[in-house]
Amino acid sequence: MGTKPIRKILIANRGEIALRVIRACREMGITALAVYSEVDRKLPHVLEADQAVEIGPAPPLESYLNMGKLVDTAREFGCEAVHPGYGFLAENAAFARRCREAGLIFIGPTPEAMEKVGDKLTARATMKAKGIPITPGMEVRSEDWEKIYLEAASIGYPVMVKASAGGGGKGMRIVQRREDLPSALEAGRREAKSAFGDDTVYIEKYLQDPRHVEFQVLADHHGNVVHLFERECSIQRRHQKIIEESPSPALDDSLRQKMGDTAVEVMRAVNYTNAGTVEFLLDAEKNFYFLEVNARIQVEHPVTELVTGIDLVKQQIRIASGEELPFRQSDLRQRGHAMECRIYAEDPENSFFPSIGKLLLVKEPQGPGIRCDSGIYSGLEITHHYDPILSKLIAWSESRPETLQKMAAALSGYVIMGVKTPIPFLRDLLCHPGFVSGDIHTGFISEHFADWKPAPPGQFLNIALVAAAYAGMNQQPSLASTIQKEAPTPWQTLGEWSLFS
Amino acid sequence: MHKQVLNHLGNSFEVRLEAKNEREISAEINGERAEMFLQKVAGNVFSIFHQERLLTVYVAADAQKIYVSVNGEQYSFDKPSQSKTGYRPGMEAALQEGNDICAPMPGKLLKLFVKEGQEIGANDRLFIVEAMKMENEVRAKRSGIIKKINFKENDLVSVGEAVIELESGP
Repeated sequence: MGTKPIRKILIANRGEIALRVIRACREMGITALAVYSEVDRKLPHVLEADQAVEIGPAPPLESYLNMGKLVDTAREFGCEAVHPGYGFLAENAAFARRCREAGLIFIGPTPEAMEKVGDKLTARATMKAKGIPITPGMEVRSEDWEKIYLEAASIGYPVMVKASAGGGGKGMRIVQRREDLPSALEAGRREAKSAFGDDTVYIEKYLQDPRHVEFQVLADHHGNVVHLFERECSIQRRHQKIIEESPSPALDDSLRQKMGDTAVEVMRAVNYTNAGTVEFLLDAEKNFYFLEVNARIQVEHPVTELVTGIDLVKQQIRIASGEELPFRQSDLRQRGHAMECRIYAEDPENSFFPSIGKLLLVKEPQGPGIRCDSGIYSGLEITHHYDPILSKLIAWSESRPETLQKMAAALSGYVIMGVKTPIPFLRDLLCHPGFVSGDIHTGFISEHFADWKPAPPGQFLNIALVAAAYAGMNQQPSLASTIQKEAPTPWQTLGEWSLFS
Repeated sequence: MHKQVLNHLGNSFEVRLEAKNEREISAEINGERAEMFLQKVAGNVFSIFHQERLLTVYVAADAQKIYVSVNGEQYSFDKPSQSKTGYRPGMEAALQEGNDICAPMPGKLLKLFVKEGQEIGANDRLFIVEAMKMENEVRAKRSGIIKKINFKENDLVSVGEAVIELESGP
């Protein structure tokens, strides 16, 4: 494959990942075209892009999942390529194919590779044939309930319902009993349809308390496949990761090499190209099982960027344009320790349910080794239409204990007012002896934090009372521009509110 | 002298403030004195010096509450003389035990499994609220008869709003 220069990219996503891709484009001298639904016109990715086009109403199926509209927009505005981000159409082979047919480069794997891994059922069969260990599972697509019950029973409850096209916890349900299976399948299908535009679900054995360890892979169109080491993603709630780190406290060099080699083998087996992740479950005896391939850039990619020093989004774009990887496996090193905390608009006291509303005030932490990938500002309205991720806080330092300290300090300096966030929860979690020692598994939160409540009012209550009363005493009609000093961008104003109206 | 009553997690605090000069404040909280140096940095960012420590304090407010963030701790105070219609942690559980079955989160009422007048058993599926692509199923905490359904499918519901009202329980 020869190289084809990319000068303009349509970013088929929103929020922080769209912003992340825009930044890569800017550094590479590529024009970034953002798209947005009608409720998103004031999002930072729209304001930061070189060009922005409204593509439809708020429901994802009419905007960010509207393939025809996206392809037409890319062509109309002279883009050579489309970057799908994560979620939405990122792992949709039909979309990748439509891009190709329209003469557009899809920045991701080929539709053929995507189908081999994106359909989780096919992927499991492929890996089984290659001798790669997989979890026990059931390969059912029919509505034949007798057969489904029979097979689920043979795997043994609890089982997990998963979206075949899925990822990110969407469409996922743990089923403990036979009678709960139909409603779990039904809900899983609807969620999968809404999140991925494909309602196929499947069932696999639910392993109790494994670790979730994944390997980042990059593969070019010249036959080079390398892994960029692991990310430990065992800290999850609602089957979604909230803390990821690299290196994993569970791996030693020999296991790391073995799993890394397996990850490369997995990707070679499906002729994978571009950036992707091979997910494994690791049990207490250090047996690992292939779980699935995430055929996209992932939410937690910054962790790998910080320990390897490689910009994954730029590599994605270079690979897509046909360039050869500029490094080989032996050139790659893990340096220091990186950790990411995902900050969602959610209430950790109320089952992590989404918390919507207006962000009254946002101040993000800064400092050496702190990276904050976010898509928010003071005054932004968080709606119920999309995934509630607000930002990702990533810390890097020489060792895991130092990174934990850095993360704790950064979380203390992160101010988000107006919606609930897991920040107080994450601060408590970082201090838990089990987490500090690295003794974690996917059931860690439900085991140790099921009834978590924030600590009772701390030592600063008096100061808070005085500040609240003082703000009331000196009330002005409009208290705008709270954070001008920290965020000089013109749209980052607080908006109008008054204290005692 | 400025006087204000603030409620925090069910506790009431009377705060009296007196500005001695532009920066120095004499405060009384429930009758106890506290001296502080307070400087307005911008809008509602304050720098407060108290007990040998300098802290940056952020204040924001919406219709119901005043929020204050100090050193990573967030406090929220009910605004004076506001009705308590806003959502509070634990409210869901409290409400579910009564006759009203409320939305646990704001979002779209995706599915209703029951009709008015219908008899339901404990743990029966009642409705699904979808927000941000996650579905959340609400089941009955007790058996009873559906007296009233206040929404139809695809309506938007707010947290704490009664979706279903049951006949008074046994």
